[in-house]
Amino acid sequence: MSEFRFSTFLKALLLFAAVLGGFDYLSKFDKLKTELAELKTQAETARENAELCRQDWTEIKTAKDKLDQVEARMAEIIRQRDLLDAKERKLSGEIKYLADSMTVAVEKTRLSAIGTVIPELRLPGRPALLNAKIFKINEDSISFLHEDGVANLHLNSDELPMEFAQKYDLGPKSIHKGLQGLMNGLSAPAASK
Amino acid sequence: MKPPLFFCCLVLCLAGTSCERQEDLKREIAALDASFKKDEAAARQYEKDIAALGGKESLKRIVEQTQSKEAQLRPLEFVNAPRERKLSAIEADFAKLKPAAEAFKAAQPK
Repeated sequence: MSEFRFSTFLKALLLFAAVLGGFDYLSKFDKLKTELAELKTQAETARENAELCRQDWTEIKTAKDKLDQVEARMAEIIRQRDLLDAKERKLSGEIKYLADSMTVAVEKTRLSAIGTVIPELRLPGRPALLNAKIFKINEDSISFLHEDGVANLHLNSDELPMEFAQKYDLGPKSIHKGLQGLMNGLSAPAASK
Repeated sequence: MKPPLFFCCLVLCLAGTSCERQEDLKREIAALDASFKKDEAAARQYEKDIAALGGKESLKRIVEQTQSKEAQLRPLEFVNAPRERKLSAIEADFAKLKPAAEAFKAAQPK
């Protein structure tokens, strides 16, 4: 078997190939390093840009969320106000109807009582009135004509028995006055706490 | 070992090492490229989201709207609660007076 021998030509060729390969490697390596440096700059710029966009978005989103919250709160308050309006209208209608009908009933009752004669009207702490005839009924008093003259009995000073207060709806606790008070209360502005 | 053979081995070794170094660089470039693309995509997405919210110019408008609505809201917030209390109190009083009034009316001769 013959021994392989490098000829001078082959040696030169090998050396040439090695030098060429070395150059190629260095050239490619430099190219890659340049590419890496450029990419690093671009990546840094892109990262900063993304961060700026994120900050802008966060700022706008926060402001928008706050606006949405305020709008939602406003919608809720307006909804509550509408409910209160409806409640007030309903209550006002009911109270007005009852107050009007009550006023008519009270006036009718008081009118029909004029001329009524009570044979013996017992009074707290004073002599009874005989043949006491009702001739006038006010909001807190009743005037009687009786055998001994005229008596104007007031509910406030406990001269008039309580049964009259209930029967003719007299005094500070009268129902129709209470209903009128509620009507006035409805039209008055609400006091804030 | 004969010198030419040693030379061949040396060349092969050098070639192998240089290939490895190039691979490292390529990997680093690929990682950076991925990060770059990710950041670019994120920026694009943020820009889309900002546009959906009305654009960068909308911030001033949104803040002004919020302030205006808050100013409208403040007095309203203090109206409903006392009004609710007042209506509830009137409702309760009415509930007490109503049966008495009905009874009074019913007791009257027709």
